[in-house]
Amino acid sequence: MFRTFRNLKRFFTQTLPTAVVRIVMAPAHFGTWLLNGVWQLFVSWWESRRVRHLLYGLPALIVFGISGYFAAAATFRTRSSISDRYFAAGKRAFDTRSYASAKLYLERVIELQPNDMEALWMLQQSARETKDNNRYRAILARLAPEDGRGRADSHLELAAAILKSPNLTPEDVERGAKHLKYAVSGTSSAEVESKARALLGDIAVQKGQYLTAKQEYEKAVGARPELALQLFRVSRALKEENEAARWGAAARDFWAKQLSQNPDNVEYRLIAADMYHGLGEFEKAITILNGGLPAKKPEDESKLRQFLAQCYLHWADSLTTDSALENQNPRFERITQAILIYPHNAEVFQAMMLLLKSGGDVSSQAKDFLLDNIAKGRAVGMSHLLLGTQALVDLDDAQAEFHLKRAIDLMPQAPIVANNFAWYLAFKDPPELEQAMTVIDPVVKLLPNDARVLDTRGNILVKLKRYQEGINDLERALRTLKDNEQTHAALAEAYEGLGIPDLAERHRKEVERLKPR
Amino acid sequence: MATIADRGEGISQLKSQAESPFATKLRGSPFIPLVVIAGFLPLVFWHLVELLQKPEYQYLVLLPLAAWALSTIREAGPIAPRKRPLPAMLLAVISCVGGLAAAWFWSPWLGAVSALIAVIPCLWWTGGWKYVREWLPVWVLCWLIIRLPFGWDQRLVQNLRTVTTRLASGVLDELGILQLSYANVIELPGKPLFVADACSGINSLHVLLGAALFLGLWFRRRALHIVALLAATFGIVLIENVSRLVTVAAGFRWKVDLSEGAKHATLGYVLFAISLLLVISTDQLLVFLIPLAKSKQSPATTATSAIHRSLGASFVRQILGAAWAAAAVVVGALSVTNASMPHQLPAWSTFSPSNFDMPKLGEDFLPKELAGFKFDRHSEVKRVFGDPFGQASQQWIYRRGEIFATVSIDYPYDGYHDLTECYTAIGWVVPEDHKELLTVEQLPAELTDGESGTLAIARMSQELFGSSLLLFSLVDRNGVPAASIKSKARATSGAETAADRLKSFGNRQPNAAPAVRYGGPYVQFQLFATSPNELTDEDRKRVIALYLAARKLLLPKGVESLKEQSSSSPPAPTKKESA
Repeated sequence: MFRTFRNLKRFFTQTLPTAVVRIVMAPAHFGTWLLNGVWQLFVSWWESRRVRHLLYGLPALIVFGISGYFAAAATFRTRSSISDRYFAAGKRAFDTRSYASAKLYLERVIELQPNDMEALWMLQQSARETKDNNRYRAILARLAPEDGRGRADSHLELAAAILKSPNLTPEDVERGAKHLKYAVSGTSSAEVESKARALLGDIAVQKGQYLTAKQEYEKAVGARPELALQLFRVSRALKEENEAARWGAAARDFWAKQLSQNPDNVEYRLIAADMYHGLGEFEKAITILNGGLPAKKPEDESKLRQFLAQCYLHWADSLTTDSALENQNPRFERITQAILIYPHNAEVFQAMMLLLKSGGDVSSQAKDFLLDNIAKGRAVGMSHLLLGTQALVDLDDAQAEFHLKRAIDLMPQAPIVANNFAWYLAFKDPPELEQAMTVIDPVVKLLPNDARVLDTRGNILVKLKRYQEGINDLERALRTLKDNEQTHAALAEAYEGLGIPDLAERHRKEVERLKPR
Repeated sequence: MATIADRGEGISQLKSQAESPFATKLRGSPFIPLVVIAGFLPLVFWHLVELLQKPEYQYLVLLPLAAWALSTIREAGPIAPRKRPLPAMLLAVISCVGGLAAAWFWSPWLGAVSALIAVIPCLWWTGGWKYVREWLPVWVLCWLIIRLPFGWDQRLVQNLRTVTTRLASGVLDELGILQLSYANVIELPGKPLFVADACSGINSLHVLLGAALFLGLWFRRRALHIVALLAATFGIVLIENVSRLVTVAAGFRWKVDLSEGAKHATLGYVLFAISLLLVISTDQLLVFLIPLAKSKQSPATTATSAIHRSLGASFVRQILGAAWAAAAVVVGALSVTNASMPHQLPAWSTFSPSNFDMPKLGEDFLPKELAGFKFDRHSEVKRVFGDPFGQASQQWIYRRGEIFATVSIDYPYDGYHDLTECYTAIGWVVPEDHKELLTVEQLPAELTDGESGTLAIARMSQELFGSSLLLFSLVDRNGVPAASIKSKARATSGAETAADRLKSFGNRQPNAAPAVRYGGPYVQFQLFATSPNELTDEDRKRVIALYLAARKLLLPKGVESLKEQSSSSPPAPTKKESA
C-alpha cells in the first residue's frame, strides 16, 4: 500500500512532470536539432567551397539577380497601374494631335483593359485622323453596336457616315435613324443630342414626315440656332404661316449675324443666300452672293457663281410664263444674266433654248443677245452652242455645223457640246455616223448614267444598225426620257431591225401618242 | 577550377595500362564496328546536309574539333571484357531497326539517331562498357547534331519569339519606355520591331547550349551540374535577347538606331560574347554551389579472369557480329539505292544567307486599275535580316470600296514559307479551317486566265481590325508558283506517304512535298486584303482575281531577277522522282 502510494507519488512528482516537459520541449528540441543539422551541413558545405569559384560566378549571380528583380517587378505590377500610365501618355499624344503615337499607347491600354471605352473612342478618332479607315470602321462598329446602345457620340458618328453614303438605300436610312435614336437616348451632352435630332429631322423631311421633323428640330434648335432655317421650311410645308414667319425671322437674324462676323466664309454666305432664295426673295439672295465676289479661292468663286445663276434662273421661272413680250422680257433679262455669270450650266442652256424656241420677238431678241455675246467676247462658247443647237432644231445644217464646231473648239470638255455636235453629225445629210460615235463615246464614259448622252448614242447606234447595243442605251435613257418621241422612234426602228415587231409596234404607238396635236 | 593538368597524371597512367599487349587481346575486331558505322554514313551525311542549311545549326562545323578535344582528355581505363552483352545487343537491334526504317521511309534524322545509338554497341564491341564510358562525353556531345523532332524546333523558335517579346515588353514597361507589344512585335512610336528568328535567339540558343555542354563535358562535371548549366544557359539566352530588344528600344529614345545594319550586328556579337562569358561564369557558380564528383577509377584486376569467358564465346560472337554488320550493310545499301534520296548535292549558296535583291519595279509597274480595283499608293519596305515578312518588299495598294488590298512582292526566302504563321505572330486569328491550299486549276476558270501552280488562301480576323484575306505563293528560278501551309502539308504528306507505302511496295512513288524545303532563293507574291466588315464570297472572288492578275505581271520579273542572280550557281537540288 505504502509502496503503491510511493510509486504514485513518484509518478506524479517526477515521471509525469518530466514526460510533460519532454513532450512540451520536443518541438523545440527537434527545431534545435534541425537547425544544428542544417548549420553543420552548411558549415561542412562552406568549408569545402572555394571563394574563387564564387568570385568567378559573381557576374552570373548579378545578372540573374537583376533578371529576377525585373521578373518579380513585372509580375507584381498590376495591369491597371500600367494601363493608367499608357492612358495618360495616349491622352497627351491625342491632345497634342500626335495621332500615330496616341494610337500606339491607346492600343496598349485596350490590350490591358479591353473595356476602356474612353481609350477605345480616342483610338477610333486617332485611326480616323491617320486615315486608317478600316480600323476606324471596325472600332466604330464596336463602340456603336447594331444591336444595342453603345457610346452616344459613336452612334452619332456612325449614323452621319451611313447617311452620307452616295448610294443611300431605305435600309441605310432606317439604320442611320436607329443609331441616331441610340445617340439621343444615351447621351447627356446637349451637342450630341442636338446633332442627332437635327439628322433625325432631316430624315423625317426626306420621308415627308414634316410634323416629326418639326418636333425634332424644335428640340435641337436651342443648341443649334441654325436649325431655324429648317424649321422655317418645315413650317411652310405644314402651312403654319405664323410659325414659318417666326422661324424665318430667327433664321434671317442668325445667318445675318454669322455672315457679318465671318464675311469671308463662303459657306455662311451660301446658306444665308439660300435662306432668301427659299423665301423667294431672289434680289436679296443675289445681293448676298454678289457680296462674296470676287472670291479668294477659284472653287469658292465657282460655287457663288453657280448659285447666282441658279437664283437668276429660279427668279426667271417665278415670273409669269405668259408669252406676251412685256412678260417675256424680264425672264429673258434674268436668263441672260444667268448665262453671263455661269455659262456652263445645263439648266441655263435649257432655259435659253426655251426662249429661242418660243418664237416671236423674244426669240429674235435672244438670238441678237447671243450674237452680241460672240461679238463682244462674252460666253462665246455657250452662245455658239445655243445658236448651233437652235439651227439644228430649225434644220439649218450649215449654221448648225458652223456654230457647233466653234462651240466644240471653244469648250472641248463640255459634254453638252459634244452631245449636241454628235447629234448634228448623226442627223445631217449625209450623216457622219462613225464620226458621231467618236464624239459621243468619251462623253458616255464621262457621264455613264446621263439619259441625254445615252439617248444620243442609242440613236447613233440604231442608225449604224447596231440594234442590240442601241436598245441597251435607249432603254436606259427611257427611264428618264419617258416622253421623248425621238427615243421611242429609235427603239421602234431597233426592234423592227431585230425582228421583234410586237415591241416595235408598241413604241410606234408611243410616238403617235407623243406627237403634238 | 579543375584543369587538364590535375587529371593528366592519372590519364597517362591508365593509358599505359590500356595499351599493354595483354589488354589488346580483350578487344573485339574493329572491322565489325567500322562496317556498321559505314552502313549508317549515307543517312548521316544527308542529315548533316539538311541540318547545315539552317543557320542556327551551322556552328556544328566546329563539332569535330570539339569532339577531338574531348577525346584527347578522355580518361582511358584498362580494357575490360565485354560483360553484360544483352544491353549492347538490344541497342544494336534498335539501331538496326531504326536504320532500316530511316532508309525505307527516307528519314535522315532517324538515320542519324540510329547511328548514334549504334555507336554504343560498337564501342562495347571494341572495348566493353569501360570503353563506352571512356568515350561517353564525346558521344553525348555528338547528340548536338540531332535536332528536335516533329517540328518541335520550329515551335521552340515561335515560343522563344513570343516569350522574348513578352519579357522585353515587361522590362521596357519597368524602364518607362512605352511601347506596344503583340505576338512577336514590339512597336515603338514610329518604329515596329519584329522579333525575327535571329532576334528570338534561336542561333544563340543552339551555340550556347552546345558551348555549355562542351564546357560541362570538358571539365567532367556531374550530370546534375550539366543539366543545371544547360537550364541556366537557356535563361541566359532569354536574357541576351531581351537585352537586345531593350537596348534597341532604349536606343530610339536617344535617337540611335540599333535596329538594323552594322550597329545591329555589332550589338548582337557583343551580347553573344557577354552571354558566352556568362555561361562560363554560371559554370563556376554551379561549381561553388554543387560539389564536384570525384572520378572513379576502375581497377584492371578483373581483366584476367574475363579472358577465358571472352574467348569461350568467340564463335557465337563472330556469328552475331557478322549478322549485325550484314544488317548495317543493308541499311547502307537501302539508303544509297532509295528512290527518295536526293541525287545531287545542294548548291553552296544554300549554305550561306541569300543576298538576293530585286530591282525597284516602281509605282507604274502595275496598272492603275486591276481586276476592278483602283491603285491607291506604292511603297518599298526594308526589314532586318531574317524578318519573316522578307528582308525587302515592294508593295502596291489597291482599293475597291472598303476593301484595301496590298499586293506585295517579298524577298528573299530560303524555302517554302507559311505566311499565315507570320500574320498569326502579329495578332491575326487564322482558324485552321479557314486555311486553304489550292491548285489554280481548282479555282473558277474565269479567274485563272491560264495561270498555274498552287496558291495558299487564309481568311483571318482581328478584333478592332476587321477581317482580311491573305493569298500567297512563292517562286524560285524554275518559275512555277507553289505555296505551303505547314499544317496542311503535314496532313497531306502523312496521309500520302502511308498510302503510297502500302500501294507501291517495290515500286516507289514520289513523296509528297515536304512542309519546309530549304534552298532558294525564293520570291513571295502576297496579297493582303482588309475590310472593316466580313468579306463575302463575292469579295473573295474579286480579291483572288486581283491576286492572279498582279502575280501574272510580277512573276516574270521575279523569275528573271532570280535567274540573273543565280546564273553563276548550279540549279537547285531536286529529288530523283522529280528529275
